[in-house]
Formats: sequence, C-alpha cells, structure tokens
Amino acid sequence: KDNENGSDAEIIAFLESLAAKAFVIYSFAEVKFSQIIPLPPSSVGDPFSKRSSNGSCAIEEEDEEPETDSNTERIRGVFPESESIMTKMRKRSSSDNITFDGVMKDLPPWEVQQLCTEALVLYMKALSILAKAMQTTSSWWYRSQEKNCSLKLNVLVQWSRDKFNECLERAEFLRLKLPPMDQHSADESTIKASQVNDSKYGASKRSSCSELSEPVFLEKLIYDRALEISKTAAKYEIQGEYLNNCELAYATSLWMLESILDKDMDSDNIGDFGSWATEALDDADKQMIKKYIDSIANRLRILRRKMNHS
Amino acid sequence: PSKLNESPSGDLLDFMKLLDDRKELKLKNKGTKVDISNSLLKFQGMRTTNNNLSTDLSMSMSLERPSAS
Repeated sequence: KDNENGSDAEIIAFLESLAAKAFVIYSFAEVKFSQIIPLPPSSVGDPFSKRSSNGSCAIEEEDEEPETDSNTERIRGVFPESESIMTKMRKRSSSDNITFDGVMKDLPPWEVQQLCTEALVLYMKALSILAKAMQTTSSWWYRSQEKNCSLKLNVLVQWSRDKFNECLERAEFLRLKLPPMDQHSADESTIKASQVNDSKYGASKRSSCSELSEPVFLEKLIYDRALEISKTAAKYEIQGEYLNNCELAYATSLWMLESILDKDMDSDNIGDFGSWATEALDDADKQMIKKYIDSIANRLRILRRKMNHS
Repeated sequence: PSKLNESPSGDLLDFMKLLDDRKELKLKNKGTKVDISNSLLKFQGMRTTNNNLSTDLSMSMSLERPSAS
C-alpha cells in the first residue's frame, strides 16, 4: 500500500493550495461580516472588553490607523489573517446566528446591503473552492478502494468540510439579509449582474438601496484587497519592521490573486459553481493580475532570502 | 524613510511604485448570471456527501492503526 503514497502526495499538495485559497477568501469574508455584525461574545466574559482588546480592528481595517503605542493592535488591524486567527480562536458557532439580529450594527441600510453582498459573494467564492476540494478528493478516493488515507489528508479533508459548513451557514444567513433581491428582481439573486447593469446604464429600476450601492464584483473586491495588503506590507518592509507579518501578507496576496484566476469548477466538469470567477475578467485584466502575482512572488522570494540571512 | 540596505536594484521601491500605480480592473460584464440561490442549493446538497467522505476517510485510518500497536 505504501506505493500509493505518490498519488496521495499529489492530492495533498492540491488540497493544500485550495485550502490556502479558501482560507484567505474566508478570512476576508469574515472581516466584511464583522463589519455588519459585531463579533458575539466569546463563551465567557464581557463582550465589550473582548472586542476592544482584539476584535475592533477588523472594523477599522480600511482606515488609516493612527500611530498607536500598541504595535500588536496595528499589526492586527493591517493584516487580516491575524485577525482571522483571532476570530477562529473565538470559535463563533452557528448558534451565534440567533443573536445576530439583536446586535446588528447601526449602519445605513444601503451600507448594510453593500457589506452583506460583499461578504456573501466572498463566502460563495470560498464555498466554491472548498467544494472543489471535497469533490476532487471524493472522486480520487472512490476511484479505487486501494488507497491509504494519511493523517495529513484526513486533517485537510476534515478542515475543508468544517470550513465549508461554516461558510455555508454564513452565506445562508446573509442571503436572508438581502430580501430586496428576491422581491424586485425577476431573475432572483443575480446580484452582481443586475447591480452592474443598473449602474452602467443609469436606469435603475431598483430600490434606492441598490442605487446607492456600489456594484459588487468579487474579482474587484479581492484584487483591491490583495494589492492593499501587499502595499501595506511593503511599507513595513521598507522600515524593516514586522518582517514575518510581511511575509504572511505577501503570501496572502498571492493566494488571493491566484484564486481569482482559477476557473473554479467548470473546466473539471464537476459541477457548475464556475460563475464565481473569471467570467468578468478580460485578457488585459488577467495579464495585469498575473503581472502583480509575478512581482509579489518575486518580492516574497527576496524577503525570505533577506530573513534567512539576517 | 527608505533604508537602502535593500538589494542593489532597489526593487522594493519599484515594487511600491508598481502598487501605487495600480490600475482598476476593467471588468467587462459578460452578463454572467450569478444565481446565488441555485448555488446555495447545490452547496447545501453537498453537505451529506462531504460528511460521508470525511467519515470514510477517517474510518480507513482507524482501520489501519490497530495493527501498528
């Protein structure tokens, strides 16, 4: 059975890259989500002290952070993955959904809708990546019964399943937060398409909510965010600060950008979740994204070399 | 405030410039329909098969362990 390990290693490598992509998109979704819904209290303790100690930065993440005494605060605010690790540690469970309505933040409706839509498309993207992970593993596993399941593969699959369920819960919740989509659009829930059409042709027949909203493009969301993360990291790198976080940030940007170039499902004939990516990008867009992938990857290589020599 | 202990080419500055000069994506809308409800249904339908796969993988592991000890 040990000679099966070759194919095992192959699928593990593939799953790892999907898991990394799913994780960075999920983390971004969580940031958006926490802008709508304050993080629920962790199992014990005062929610507000918890939030101000480590959760609040997610809210301000787009803002220019003033220089504070606390470097950790700054770093967490800047790098979403540290935030998401904190988030994970707080272990929000599905039952938290029940309390969400009571604690919705006091934002204007259009902004809530905007954030809900953004979070939703991000969770959907994460779901499509995780779906691919599960389905690829499934077809690999059931192709022949003569396979070993290594601990690593098992851990990856369990993780993917858990994350899948978590994203699904969030997406279901957000979907319900967007009732106008159902009622006003015959072609229900064509969020991206319809909103874009509205803004492009200026002939909005939709509620004032969506008139005010920016059109939501998954690709644009991820692209802007990924470049922002790298930019911030470069600022720190040039000061020679927080190099470990810079490394993580560049890697995060890379996974994010690569995820929008991936042709999710459709090429694999596994299912058609494919509309979550690529369709909106033309060749020039793709070339530009590749250019950034190359230079960020190059930057990451140089940084790693620098870190190893110091 | 650039410390120029950077590699000879000064590429970190180039890198920052590249990021500062970034262009927006054009994002032609090919009219792709994004049917969230439909996708959600499909994802919901995957839950069972995901669970089955996880169970099968875990089982195959636990079946192999005993002989080792």
